[in-house]
Amino acid sequence: MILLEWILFLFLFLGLVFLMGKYMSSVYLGEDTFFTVIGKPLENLIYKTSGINPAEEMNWKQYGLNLVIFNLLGCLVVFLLQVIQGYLPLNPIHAANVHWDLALNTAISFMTNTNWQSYSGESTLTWLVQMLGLTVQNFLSAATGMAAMVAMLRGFTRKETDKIGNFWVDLTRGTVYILIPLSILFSVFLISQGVLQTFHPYQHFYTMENQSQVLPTGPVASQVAIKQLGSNGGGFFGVNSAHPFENPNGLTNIFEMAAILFLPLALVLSFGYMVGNIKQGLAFLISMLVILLLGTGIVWWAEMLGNPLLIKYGIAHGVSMEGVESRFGVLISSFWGLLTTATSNGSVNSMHDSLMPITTLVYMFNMGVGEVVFGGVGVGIIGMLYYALLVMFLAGLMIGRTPEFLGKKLGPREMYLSVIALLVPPILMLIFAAIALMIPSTVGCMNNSSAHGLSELLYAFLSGAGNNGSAFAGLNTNTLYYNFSLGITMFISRFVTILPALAIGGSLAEKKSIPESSATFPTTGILFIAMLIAVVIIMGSLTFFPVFTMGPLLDHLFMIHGKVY
Amino acid sequence: MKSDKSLILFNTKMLKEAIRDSVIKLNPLTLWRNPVMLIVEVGAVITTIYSLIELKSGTGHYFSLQVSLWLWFTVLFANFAEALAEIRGKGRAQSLRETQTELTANRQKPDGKYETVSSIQLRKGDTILVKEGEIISGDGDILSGTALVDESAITGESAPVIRESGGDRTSVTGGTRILSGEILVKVTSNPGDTFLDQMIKMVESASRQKTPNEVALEILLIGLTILFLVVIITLPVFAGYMSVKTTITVLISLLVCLMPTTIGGLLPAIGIAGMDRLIQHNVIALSGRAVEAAGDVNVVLLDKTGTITLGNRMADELILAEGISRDTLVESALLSSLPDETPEGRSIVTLCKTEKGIKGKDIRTPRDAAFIAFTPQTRMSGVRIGSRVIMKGSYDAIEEMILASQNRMPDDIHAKADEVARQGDTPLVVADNERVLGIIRLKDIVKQGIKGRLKQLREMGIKSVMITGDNPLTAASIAAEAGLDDFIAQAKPETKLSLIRKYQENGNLVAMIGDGTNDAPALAQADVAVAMNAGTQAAREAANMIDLDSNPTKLLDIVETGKQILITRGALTTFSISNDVAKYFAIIPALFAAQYPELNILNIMHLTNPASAVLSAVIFNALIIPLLIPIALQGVRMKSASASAILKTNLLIYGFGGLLLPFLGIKIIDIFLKLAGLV
Amino acid sequence: MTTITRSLRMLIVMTIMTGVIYPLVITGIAMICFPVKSTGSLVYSQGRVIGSELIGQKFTFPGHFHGRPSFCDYSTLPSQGSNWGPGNSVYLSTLKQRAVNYREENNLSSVQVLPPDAITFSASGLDPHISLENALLQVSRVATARRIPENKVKQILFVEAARDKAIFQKPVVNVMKLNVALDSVGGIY
Repeated sequence: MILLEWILFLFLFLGLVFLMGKYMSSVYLGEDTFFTVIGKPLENLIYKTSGINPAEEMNWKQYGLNLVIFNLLGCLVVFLLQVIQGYLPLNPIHAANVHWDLALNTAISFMTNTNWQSYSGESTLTWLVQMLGLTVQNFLSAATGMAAMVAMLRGFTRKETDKIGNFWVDLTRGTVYILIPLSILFSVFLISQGVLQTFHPYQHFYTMENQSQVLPTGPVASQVAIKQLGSNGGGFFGVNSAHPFENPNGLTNIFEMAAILFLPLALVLSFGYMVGNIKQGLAFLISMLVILLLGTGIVWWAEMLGNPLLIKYGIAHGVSMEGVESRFGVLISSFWGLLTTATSNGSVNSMHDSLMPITTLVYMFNMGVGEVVFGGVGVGIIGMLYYALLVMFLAGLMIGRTPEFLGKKLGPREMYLSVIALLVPPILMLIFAAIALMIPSTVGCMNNSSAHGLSELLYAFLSGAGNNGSAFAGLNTNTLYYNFSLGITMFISRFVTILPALAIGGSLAEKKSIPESSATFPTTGILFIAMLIAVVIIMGSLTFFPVFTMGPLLDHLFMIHGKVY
Repeated sequence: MKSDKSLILFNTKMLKEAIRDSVIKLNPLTLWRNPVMLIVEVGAVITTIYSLIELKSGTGHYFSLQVSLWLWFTVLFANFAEALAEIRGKGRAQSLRETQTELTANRQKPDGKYETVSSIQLRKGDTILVKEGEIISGDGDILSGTALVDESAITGESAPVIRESGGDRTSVTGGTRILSGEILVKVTSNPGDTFLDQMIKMVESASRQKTPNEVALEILLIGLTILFLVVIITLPVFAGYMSVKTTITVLISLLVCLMPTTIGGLLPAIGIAGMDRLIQHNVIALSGRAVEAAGDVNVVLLDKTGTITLGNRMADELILAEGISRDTLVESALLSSLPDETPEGRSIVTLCKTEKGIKGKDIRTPRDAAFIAFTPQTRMSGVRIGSRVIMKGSYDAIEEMILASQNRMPDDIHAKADEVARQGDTPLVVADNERVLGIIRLKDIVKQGIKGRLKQLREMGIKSVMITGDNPLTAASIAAEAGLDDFIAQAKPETKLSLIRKYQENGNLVAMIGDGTNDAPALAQADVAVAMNAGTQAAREAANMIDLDSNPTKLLDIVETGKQILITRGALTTFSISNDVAKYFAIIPALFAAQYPELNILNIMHLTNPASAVLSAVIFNALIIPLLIPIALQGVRMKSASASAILKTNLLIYGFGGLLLPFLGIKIIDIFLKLAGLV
Repeated sequence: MTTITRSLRMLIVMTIMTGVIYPLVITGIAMICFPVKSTGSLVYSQGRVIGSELIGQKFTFPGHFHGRPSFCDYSTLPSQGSNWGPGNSVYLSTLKQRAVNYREENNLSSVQVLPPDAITFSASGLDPHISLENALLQVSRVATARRIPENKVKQILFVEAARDKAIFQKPVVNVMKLNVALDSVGGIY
């Protein structure tokens, strides 16, 4: 009976994903949809007020410049709002101005779609910052990611031109036609289930046993909706989606999981529709699903195995509910973690620090390979395309042809850009994590010692480098070094993912399109899928084998062998 | 020469030279070109110093020393592979070069007299006289004279060839010998620029330009190297946090094992060996880029004549127009062909003589007859005897001619010509002063084996297109017989160029073989342009490859070689990266298991001890390079099959095999080391 | 320069749309359609707010069902979990202590197998639910304290549990609502 509900839900969900995939491709191609009646006037209004000529076409450098400047300005606004929040209205808890390093970290974090939180929203930020700063960046960083993806795809569909579209148009369409309508629908659903949406002041009261408690309030639903849809993940509250006011019951939980997956999944299909090769989209989708299923198997195995140390205290089967909400349970909670690390969402509904080490190893792996299993909105497919270019390069050589993908020849330039995009984030991550270990005070920020402490540290930097945002929350990262190094990691990783994508788009757009022949390696078949999966897994393993051995694997072995720290 | 092209990998002399060169190549300044190996060398230096310090203090049982030794071997093996490939290629060119430097030439002075100069003094534009028995001292074009030339020195073909002024066989190559005749040659290249020099350059890595694919691959390899450098540099910090002490020797060992040393070491050899294999096919490529482009070709343009058919069409039958007597036709056909020296013309004469029953007798051309030669534009030829003009030519050409004088083609001729063409033969319409007499059936003979080769092309996904001046029906029939994908009938010289452009616009890479001067523009346009060595200088200059055998089906070999170079690179890269997994499983437990015995579960190979594990991995990493030299030099075996099938095979062997082999190899080395008491 | 001005204008327009209009519209809808749910699902007793049915609160009276241990002791500003790793010795020693306390409180034998949620900290520190197994182990204590038959307590528990049964959710019971129901039935505690 329960299984039936899940299956039914899955099918409904997949159906909607397909529709959404098609819809989004229409939106970005500028075709008319059912929403055009409302969207078009709004879109035009935005162009008019911002002084934008939607017909203008940009080359990749112009596109990139506009994108970067716009993002930096957004970042600056979030930063400024925080450091002067104490003087601004909508401050129910009389929060003080945020210290500059935390404010900078948070500003970068939300601008880069990471949504790493070194703070707890309910006790640190004002409503004004949450609305004008964070919610806005939730929309814009997601729309930026999607725009980058669309611009990159134009490289495949266009030929012999250096133009890859208009950033402002892509940004506006993504926001107006996709993110806002979906967020409105989803917010209303969340409110109907008990997620807060109010400007009432914090509620002080005495409990049934006469103890004082405060209920935090605020415009929560409107932010949670976009945080899940836009693979942002930054919670209104510190404990994120474990907080009953963000995620009150099983239904909101499964809908939030669906929202986390919705656009990343649909965008994979949009990619297929937009390059005129839906089979290619499906091939990517299947590759990602296989990696997700592999991960699910490992994670559920680890959680079912549980923590043998707990058995001697009489806990049934050693199932570890530490850091897990009772309404979700370990299986759904660990699956949530898998989804959010796969999609670069970064919201949590359990405390990852307390999950089984092997579970977190899978999470870290997901982030380490750059979150390409669906990935963040837009950037996920970009990341997967980097891997695909790598695969096609090897495959091309191995069939004796200059590598090509979707009818475009791949040269040194594409290789150079893909290698940079794929390797810079892990390199940054390793370097900054290593430096952190050399600073004694920074080591002292760990909540756990030994291998688990190392996991905390690795997780933080993997999360930053992957623009994920979830955390081993035990690690206190509100220190100068962490705020600074994680800020840099997030910043560079974000742009080192997006800018090469635009450059590749520009470079491919200039090339001719090669017709498919029997000599072309079919990139929609099982062989391609298998190779893609293998390359993702092998690349990730080779990069992180040593650190994952010392971190989560050793942590797991200690636990199995009854060693405590 | 032929026997030299056998698949002997090396002989003792080559081996000695290669070993010497591989030591010379240790010079960091030359190794700079191969960053992966440079880093290995730096690592070797560090571990050597470290092991010397260790030796002095008397600790350890020569572990560091053994590791350093194998690291040096890793670099040496890689150098050896490159040196061997270079020597093999050089060897092929060296003997030629020796003869060349000794040469003298008779150079024409401005006053018309000749002087004897060394061939090195010859410059482009000089005119030289070459007599019977002499060796031609530089590449050039024949200005006057005819000669029988022995080109075996460069082609390996023992049968001499005719070279003469005018027409399409005017070019001669330096280093070839004149067997008979005397020619005046205009030199077309400066010393050092001859094909021979080109050939030598191509196999010397120093002057070899890297191809885009090579550059892309190097970017990947350098990227991986940097990544692994960071992994190794940060490793002691993480290990230190976990209270694990790491030694520099083990770290460098791990780094070298992880870096793509296998492909990095063999990469230069693969490229050089590829060029060398091309030379084995008697093709000289003027750039590596062109060779690799050959692997990408989607469309091949083939001239019908000489490539698909034997070239000479033979007159087979005379078909009368209605109301014309046989004698009239025979006589006119004979007259029109008597001065025609083309093989076709001669075959018509032979046929006519047979018809008249005078076979063998000598018939002279009437004294006042003027021959009207065939041109590709008019597509007909004939004679003018006074006011009488007898022409023979393609149906269209004759029709055009008689239409001009207000006559029209008889209906039956149209039908008969069609009938002939439908059977795959060429109808040659004979007209005497605009009166159409009949048709000569020219039979075209398709070359043996061409069908099979074209089928191979199709399996590789390459479309073959025949270009012919024939009418569409004839062309279709031949195309069907030979198994071509497409054909262009009634092509004029310009057609080739526009056809290539058309294909290129659709994103195709086009290869073509040409020989005549009128092929030059098309050759220049084609992505892969192969000129016959026997072709004109113009054609040779427009091409990026020269086929010394002047054998048009050679294109297939070129394509295969191009593909093979890429496949070898791809396969060894995949192999190299897959190998890393096993090396991690050897070294990581060795690093940590002393401190954390729990991690012994990673020691799935059950290696003797940490030192043995590290050493085994390093030795495997070093030994795999020489073991793969044969593959690098001969190329990965390939067959014409679909892309997926090729990939599947290569993935299985080099990907999956590369994953498993090191587990086996490291274990075996470990056992050996234990038995030998080295650890 | 035009890039910067255009960016700035765009940012302002977008901020107004997504940062002002969007949350205000949603709040408007919330006020009209879901006035209770959107303001925290507050529970009143005698006209006084006694909590939110979504937010766990601390129960220590023996006559009340007790919620899960909370690392932040049900404080909300901010709430948090323990973030202890599975092999953390502090975690394990406090866990041991909580197991002992739980068994003592509920008069259980020392070999009684405990449901995992009974002694572990929740993620949010505000978990409003406990598992049915956990609740059942507490029934006898509650009944004794209230001096009402165990069956009566069980009956209320099952009614509440059935009410809390929801799709895609583990079988749990809301501790506060359960205690409110108990209180409305009466009994001394």
